[in-house]
Amino acid sequence: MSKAELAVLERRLRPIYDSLDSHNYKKALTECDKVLKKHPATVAAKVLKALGLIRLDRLAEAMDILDVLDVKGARHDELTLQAFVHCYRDSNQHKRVIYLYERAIEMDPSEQNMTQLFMAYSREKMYKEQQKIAMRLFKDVGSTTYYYWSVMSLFLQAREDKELGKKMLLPLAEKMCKTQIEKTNYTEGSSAELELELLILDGQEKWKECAEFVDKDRAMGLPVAPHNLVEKGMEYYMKDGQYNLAYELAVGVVETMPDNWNLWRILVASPVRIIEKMDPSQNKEYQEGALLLVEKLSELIEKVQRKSEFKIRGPYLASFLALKAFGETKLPGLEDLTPHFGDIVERMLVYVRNFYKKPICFADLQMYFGELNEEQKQQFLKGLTSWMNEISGEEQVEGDESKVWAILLTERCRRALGEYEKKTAEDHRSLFQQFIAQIAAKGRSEHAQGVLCNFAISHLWDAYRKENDLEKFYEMILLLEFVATSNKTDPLCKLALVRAYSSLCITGRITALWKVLDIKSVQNDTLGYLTFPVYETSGRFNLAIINCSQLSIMYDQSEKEIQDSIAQAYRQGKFTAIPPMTAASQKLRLSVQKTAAEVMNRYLSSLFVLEDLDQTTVTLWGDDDPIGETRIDWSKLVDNRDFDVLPYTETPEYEKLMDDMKKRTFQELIDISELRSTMCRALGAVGRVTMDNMDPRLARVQLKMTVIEFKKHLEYCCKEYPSFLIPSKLAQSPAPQHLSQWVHSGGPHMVLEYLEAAVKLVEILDSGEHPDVELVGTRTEMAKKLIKLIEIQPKRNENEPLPPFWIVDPIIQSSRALQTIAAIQIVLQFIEKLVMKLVKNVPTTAPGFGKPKGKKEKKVAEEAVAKALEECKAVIFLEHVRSKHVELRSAGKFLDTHFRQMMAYEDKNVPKKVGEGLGKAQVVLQEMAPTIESRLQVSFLNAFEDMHTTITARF
Amino acid sequence: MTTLRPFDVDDMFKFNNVNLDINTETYGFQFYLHYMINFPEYYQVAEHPNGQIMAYVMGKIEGRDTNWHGHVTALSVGADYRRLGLAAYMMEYLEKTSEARNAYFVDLFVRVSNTVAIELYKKLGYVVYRQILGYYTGERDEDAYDMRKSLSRDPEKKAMVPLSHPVHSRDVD
Repeated sequence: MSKAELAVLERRLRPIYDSLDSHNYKKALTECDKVLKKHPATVAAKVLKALGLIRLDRLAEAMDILDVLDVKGARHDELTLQAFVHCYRDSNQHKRVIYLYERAIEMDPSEQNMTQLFMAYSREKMYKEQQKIAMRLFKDVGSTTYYYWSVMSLFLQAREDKELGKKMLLPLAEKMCKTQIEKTNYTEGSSAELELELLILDGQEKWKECAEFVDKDRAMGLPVAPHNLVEKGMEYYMKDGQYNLAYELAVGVVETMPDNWNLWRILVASPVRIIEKMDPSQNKEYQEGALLLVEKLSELIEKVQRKSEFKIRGPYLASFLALKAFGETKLPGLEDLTPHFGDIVERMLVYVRNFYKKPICFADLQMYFGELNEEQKQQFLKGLTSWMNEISGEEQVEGDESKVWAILLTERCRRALGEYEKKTAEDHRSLFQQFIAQIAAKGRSEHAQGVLCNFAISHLWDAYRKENDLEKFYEMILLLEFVATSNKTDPLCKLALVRAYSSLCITGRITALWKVLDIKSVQNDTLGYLTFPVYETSGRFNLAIINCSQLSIMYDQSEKEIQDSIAQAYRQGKFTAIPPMTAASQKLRLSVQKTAAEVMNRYLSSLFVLEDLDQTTVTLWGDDDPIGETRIDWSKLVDNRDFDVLPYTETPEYEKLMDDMKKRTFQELIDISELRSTMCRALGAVGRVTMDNMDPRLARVQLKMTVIEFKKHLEYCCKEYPSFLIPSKLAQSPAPQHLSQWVHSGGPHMVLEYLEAAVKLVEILDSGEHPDVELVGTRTEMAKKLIKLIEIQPKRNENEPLPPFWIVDPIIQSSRALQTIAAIQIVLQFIEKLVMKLVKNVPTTAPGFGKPKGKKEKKVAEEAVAKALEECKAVIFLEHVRSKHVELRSAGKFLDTHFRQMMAYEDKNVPKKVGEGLGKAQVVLQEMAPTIESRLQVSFLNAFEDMHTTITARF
Repeated sequence: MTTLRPFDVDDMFKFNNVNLDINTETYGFQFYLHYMINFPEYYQVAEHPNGQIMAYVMGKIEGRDTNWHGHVTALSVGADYRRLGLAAYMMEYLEKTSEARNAYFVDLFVRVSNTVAIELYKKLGYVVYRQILGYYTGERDEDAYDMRKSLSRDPEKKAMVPLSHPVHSRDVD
């Protein structure tokens, strides 16, 4: 197609593009029809129509269009190809982009099409194929750019297969690179060749060559800052075992860059490595040599310290680093390092005196608390107390917050060194009171206020975690709200509130705080765990769907942006940037949060939004399997959650709890998502048996398989998540998934029963028989199970009020009960459809009722009546299934009645006592209480309101 | 004690402690990757020995003739890592990088309400060159100051002579 023709086409398609860009997909379809009416042969319009359908979630219709057009031998213009790419990307059929361009280059092997194919291979990490196409591009077009694409493809193949990479691929890449540079020299103004050369040397672990390479003048052409290049060189020398050289290089620059951590790391690590390599059997030589190196380092540290005069932290932290590194090696003769690097306790106290005003002082010291034995810990704490006493009496000018940071540092150290556990509850209370006074002090900076509050609530979290003390938990919420309301810049209190509210289903406030925190883009992946799946557990299904849809848009957009950036890097020869971008793309694709959100979206949309059964089938089944793409590999999902946003000041034991929590909650998120997914697939599989465009045999096999998969996974979850399991209560834990509640509620088992019934039903109908009503159980049996499912009202001890936050469990149970009812409703609808479609031998004429003559006729008449009765079974079965919907509707209505009854309870949802024994602080907290209580109440009410709407609309 | 190293894409998965700051915007991948690919030497991350990101600076070099200059796109320091001189350290780094690229000056845009940052830049030798009307849009619409500091290639500091009137954001390159 000529440029002029393309321009005409583009003008013609403009209204369609505009409608698609403005998310007006229905209008886009109308615009497509308009174009096609005038110009019926416009393939681009047809493909854009498919794109509109995909964006309206009408995938099946879209595929019908695409499958006819995207065929071998078809020649498409650039605009049509782009439209195809959008279709396949939007429907997650990325491999089809490859097939599209493979066919396109058969018809038109243009540079544009081959480049597109290269990028499509790159997205799917098909490096061998992309290498071939790059070579073809090089041969056809003659540009060295494509030659280097080919070399880079070899490098990427080597990363996938390390052994082959070292033996063959990287040496080949090196040779190719060298040959080409000899032929055409380095490209002026580009770093492509240099980047490739270094990547290949690095990949082969040729550390010596790497070090020499970055040392050459030409290396200045690399897109690396000069100091980064120098440090890179030192690191290569370290890797190559040239410790002396690395040490000398670092010594040469450390005085001008005394706060550079990389330099100190090399300065400490290199003598340690040298000593490790020495022969300990040569006792005298060994000891003398080791001592010499230690002294040399010790002198250097002292020298730099003297020069820096406590203006920077680097040289002082270097002492701790040296003590730690040499201490770990346990070198004979160097058991006591005090003479060389000083006494660790004294050094720490000196550090405190000089750097306590820096908020980071605690984190600096915390890295080395592990080096202290019990006695040293006590010495340090004693020294800290006397220092604190000294500075307490000092005068302080207005606006100077040094004392606050001193208090914070002291208390953080005490807590991290285990002193808090030794204190009484009264001591904790008294300290808490002092901290509140500090928080509320006039002129307190917002940063200090946030950090003070974060520390002050630690013991409240402790009480909640260890003793389920809900009064303290509420007190914590009040204090956090007190700070969050007036403190605009501090994110810590707001994050802690989101965390606390996520276990109480306070969706309204969570939404508001999330907005204030301005969580965007990739942050939704790394911090999404703080809110996911609170909208689902709170029964706010529409909000949950919106939330999941937004997450999906973010993931799609991010993937697109990364792929575009990779393409840009290839075009500009910025090869060093490609491997980390590929890794980031992989991290997002395999993100557990991404998968969890996508599955949730499919699950809730099918259950509560979609009306059309065929569309429900397609959505439940998902778009990952029928078209040959790989299904979710649950074992490959990765954890991108960032747990470092809520700092803690705990003893090392807490680290173990954190690690355990991270592992358990990661697995729970995978397991609950897999349970939702397997349920969706099994439900969808029932629907697929009724679809005309399905291969009947395949549909039946899939039905059996998916129901078994769901059953197996449900059994696994029941075993792994016993009913007594409660969600993690660490301050850093994610929003609870409540998998244990779900699998022991009876809901998923009810869904399974109907799914198994559907499997049997298909077998019965296929064999030409008709089903009995027993297949799906009686209405009474169903009613009994539903009554148990909707038993959400809390059990009350006689004459006792319900505990605080008593309403949270009923909200979660109601939400899950509604999900079960909706799932059963869908499977029953599918069952009806199955009977209508598959039932055979339906009587077409009524048997004659005339008086039979003779034995033979009598027998025939009897058989006809029996047959007719048998055939009526299908009708009776259908009626029975339909009557079950009545039970489901009743269950929904009963649930609704329970909501109203519970909302009328007089029991308060928050503790009656607030801030007991806190003096003035109690007054402050009590003043906050009514507003917060009413906010919580509104959130609870909204949850029930939303579920009420769902019941009215769906049941 | 700081490691100053080039930005890595993986940093986007752990920069929350810096980006949760109210004055730090979080963008999509393309924005960060554009700088990583095109101006890697202008995109540096300060890392604490405990692995946390302390701060980052991202910038670029652009313009023609006497307008050839280094631009600070973003400079963010995590709340816990303030008062260590990191901002000054990273600005100095960016200025050196621009000197090495023979630029005339370095400039940056800052919210007019961000007085702490404005004071810091003034301390580092920057002046308010002009006010840009309606530069920031979105949740918090606000004007920006365009602040500049001449480098050795502009000994007469011509780039720092302030404009007498504000300009609208649509008129800014």
